[in-house]
Amino acid sequence: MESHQILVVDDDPITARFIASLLQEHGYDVLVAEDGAHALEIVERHELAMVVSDLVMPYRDGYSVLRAIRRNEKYRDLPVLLLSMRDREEDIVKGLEEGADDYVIKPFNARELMARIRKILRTRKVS
Amino acid sequence: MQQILVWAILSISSVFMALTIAIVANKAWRETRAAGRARRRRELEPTILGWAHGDEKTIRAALEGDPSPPDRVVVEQILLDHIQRVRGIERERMAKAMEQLGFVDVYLEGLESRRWWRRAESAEKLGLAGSKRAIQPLSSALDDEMPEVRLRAAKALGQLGGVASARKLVRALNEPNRWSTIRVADILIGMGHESIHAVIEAFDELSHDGQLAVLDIVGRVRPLSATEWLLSKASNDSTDIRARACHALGSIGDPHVTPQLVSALDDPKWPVRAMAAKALGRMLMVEAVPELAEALRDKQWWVRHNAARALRTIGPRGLEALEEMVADRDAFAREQAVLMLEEAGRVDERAIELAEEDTAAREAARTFFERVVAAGVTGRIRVLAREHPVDSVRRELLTLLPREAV
Amino acid sequence: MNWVAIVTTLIIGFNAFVLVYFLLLNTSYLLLFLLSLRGVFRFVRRTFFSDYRQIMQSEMTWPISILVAAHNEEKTIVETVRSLRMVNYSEFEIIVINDGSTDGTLKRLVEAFELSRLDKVYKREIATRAVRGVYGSLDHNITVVDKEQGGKPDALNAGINVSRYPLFCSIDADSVIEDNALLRVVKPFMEHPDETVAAGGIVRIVNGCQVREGRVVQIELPDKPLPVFQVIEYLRAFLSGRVGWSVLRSLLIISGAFGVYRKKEVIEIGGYGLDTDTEDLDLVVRLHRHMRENQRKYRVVFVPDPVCWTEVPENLTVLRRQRARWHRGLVQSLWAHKRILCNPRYGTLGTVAFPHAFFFEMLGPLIEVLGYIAVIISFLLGILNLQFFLLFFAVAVLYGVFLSIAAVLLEEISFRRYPGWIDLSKLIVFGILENFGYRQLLALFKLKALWDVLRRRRGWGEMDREGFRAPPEPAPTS
Repeated sequence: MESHQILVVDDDPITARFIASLLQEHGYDVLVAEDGAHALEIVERHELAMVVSDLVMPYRDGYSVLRAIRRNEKYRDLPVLLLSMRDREEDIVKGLEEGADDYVIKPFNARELMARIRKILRTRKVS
Repeated sequence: MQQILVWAILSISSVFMALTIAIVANKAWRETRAAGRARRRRELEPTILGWAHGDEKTIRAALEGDPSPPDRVVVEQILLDHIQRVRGIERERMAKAMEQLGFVDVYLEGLESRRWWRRAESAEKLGLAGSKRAIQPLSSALDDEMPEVRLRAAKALGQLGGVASARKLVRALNEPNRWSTIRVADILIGMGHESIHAVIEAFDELSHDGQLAVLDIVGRVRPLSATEWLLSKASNDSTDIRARACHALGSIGDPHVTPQLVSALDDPKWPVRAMAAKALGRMLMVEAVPELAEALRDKQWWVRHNAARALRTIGPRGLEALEEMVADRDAFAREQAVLMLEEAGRVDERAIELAEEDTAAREAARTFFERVVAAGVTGRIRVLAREHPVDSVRRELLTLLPREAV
Repeated sequence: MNWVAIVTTLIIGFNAFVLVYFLLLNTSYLLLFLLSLRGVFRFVRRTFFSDYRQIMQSEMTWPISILVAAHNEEKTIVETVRSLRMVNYSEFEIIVINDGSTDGTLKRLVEAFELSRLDKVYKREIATRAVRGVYGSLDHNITVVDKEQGGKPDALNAGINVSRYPLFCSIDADSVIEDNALLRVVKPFMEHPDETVAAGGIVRIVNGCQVREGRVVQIELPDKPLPVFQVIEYLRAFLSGRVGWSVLRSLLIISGAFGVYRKKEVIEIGGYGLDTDTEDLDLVVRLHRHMRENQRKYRVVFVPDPVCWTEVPENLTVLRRQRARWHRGLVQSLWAHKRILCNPRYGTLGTVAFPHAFFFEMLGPLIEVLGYIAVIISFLLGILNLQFFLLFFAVAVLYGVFLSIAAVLLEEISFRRYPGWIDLSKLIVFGILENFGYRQLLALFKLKALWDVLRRRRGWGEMDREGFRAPPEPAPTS
């Protein structure tokens, strides 16, 4: 069965709520985690369609969540989109090289974010 | 006497009681209010966000009429929280909501308040609410008597795209307060290329620190058109200004200025030399490799360090130069070269070559390590001699190390 | 005149003195509280919208060197450095000074951060005990100075020598600082770049709080009574004490647990002094003296918000030792700089802060204990006016309670770090209980310390710290 669950990871609850409401508006089920460790627990337990994660978080940052996902056989192909205030070239390149499917800079444009999420989900379905 | 004491006891205990009651009442009131607001927020937030995602015309329709006074506070907070985290259409819609619900009017009034923190708060919120109507009043707030209000007005204008304010803002760089300088600079940088003209024009009227801030702003915005102007500052009388100009040139990265930066490597003052070296590295100027290698012999640690780092950044040619400098006549140059090679992982790479089949390659690696040992910086080699996974490499390194170091 | 009459006259005279003393002491604390109230209000108002995020990203923020002196800290040191690394600040380096540890402190650090020995050449601006080696991480942001044991001040001096940046921050190895603490405490340096020479933040008590990976995740009051008393004491000392002193521009102490200094001036006065028990107090007093004597404009600032969480003693023995050390340090520093006392040349420092510290902080415990003794003697001699005594005692206790509650009030209107109702009621109840026992106990500890210093007259400057000490040097003013 096709999963419609998307996990949103952000230590800022306001951003998390905004993205969640945006995704719900477009018909997805949303799970929210406020830190990296919690996020990985959810990844382990749920059949997800995708992860949208903040980069800078306490305890486990976005890179570390991403690496943990890519290293695990079971959900290696789970799409991950990184969100970050950091707009320097190095950070974006690093995020993509670590295996993120996309990198969006905060503050973000909601419609653009949605379009990117849909595109990622579409390409994943095809492959 | 006793009476005075009794009197004292009575007054202190009443003050004490009053204090306790005040603390408790204050806390109770605050918490009840916060709980009520949190509850309302949970109810209202989805509605407001749903409205922002959708295309309904007025926010009142979504909220089913005007919010009650307690709700207004909650709605305002929700809008302020979200508006600063998004861009694009959602942001515009939320700005529209703030206008429709009359928050912008309240802030505009607040800008006239007698209490400065009200004015500052209103300016800040006007910036977030993004109403073009606020540009004029905010511009006048740039002349407020309180620096805090001026800054927040400036920030708001920056958010509203009021480039006209750049000129007024630049003057604020003259304030000795560095905290506000940083904030003003940040606002000007946020305005981008449009602020550069005003900034450069005001340069001569600014204090020394203000001028340095201008150079930093130019370096952050990186307008190619400012190269010529920066070059003129690179020969300024002040050491700091020369240094910062070099730094800014490095971030703009126009290759035409290489000769000037190379000659700045011979500046009499070390901060300029250090910045020139850094700039050349940032620009990946392969042409400057010989001069950067030369700069490894500088008297100053920062210059040597930046030169070495620049060589590393430049890539293979730079690393080659560093390897050559390991055998330099100058002890400081040797030290810096080896440290940077260690940092770049070059020493480890060379160690693997010690186990190479090819004799020539092995010999070359051996020569390299002999030179490093002769340079007297053996920290990494000692670690490798202990911990390298390949036996032959460890043995080889041990023979190379002087006995007392082992 | 027989001896009873003499003693009676003496006692009555002394009682009158105590009364006046009590009045002056409490008036000074009340004024200090009012000053602090104003200071805290203004501070809160100025920071209601903070721009720490932008400031942090700016390249114009001053870089800072964080110094951590460590002696046998193998259990915690790696965790400490790791949490320091996560602090919000644009450019900083961490320097750990391993002061002759006999355990695996150095080894743990080298392994955890992949340090390698640097053949670093640096300028020894301040003389210290021999440095055995300097280790650095690849990104140059962590440096470990391995040196022979010389005590905390000597270790910090060695750290100053190898530090690269114009500001340095000293942090205790067992303390945790909040995310934005460094930015906040550096703010005065940036607001008044020419004048600020030192700034300190508030120290709060971590006992009872939950700490996860070097961050305080949940704030709670300790369960044991002894640390709770200290929570109130700290609130009083910092919120309604140091804020006020800072307003008066005569803050005498910045906690060693968390303070930032400008390196230039600290080097000018030869770094931390080795000959007192409390190097933090001593450094600030010497900075004051140096700046005043050279007639330079300067500021020593207390910032009430940057929080450093630190562990306090949970048993009496350790508390006694700690307080005795603090009090000895106070006596030593005041004595060494006694010329400042009541000397108008030193401004408010000489006319207000020093007299306060001298007569109230230093001699207060003596007067208090003497007062109790006088009461006992009067009782034995049958001259005790019981009613008067009880009333006076009640006033004293109530006043103490009032000052504690006032500090709690300051906390409640400003920072509100303790969210629960239970915590608040506990603070109020303990603020009352504190006056029966705890307070007297502290007075005794301090008195003992005073006695210790007096007994070894020649050794005013001699230091007595458990295992963490330097060879004694002759004190300059004995």
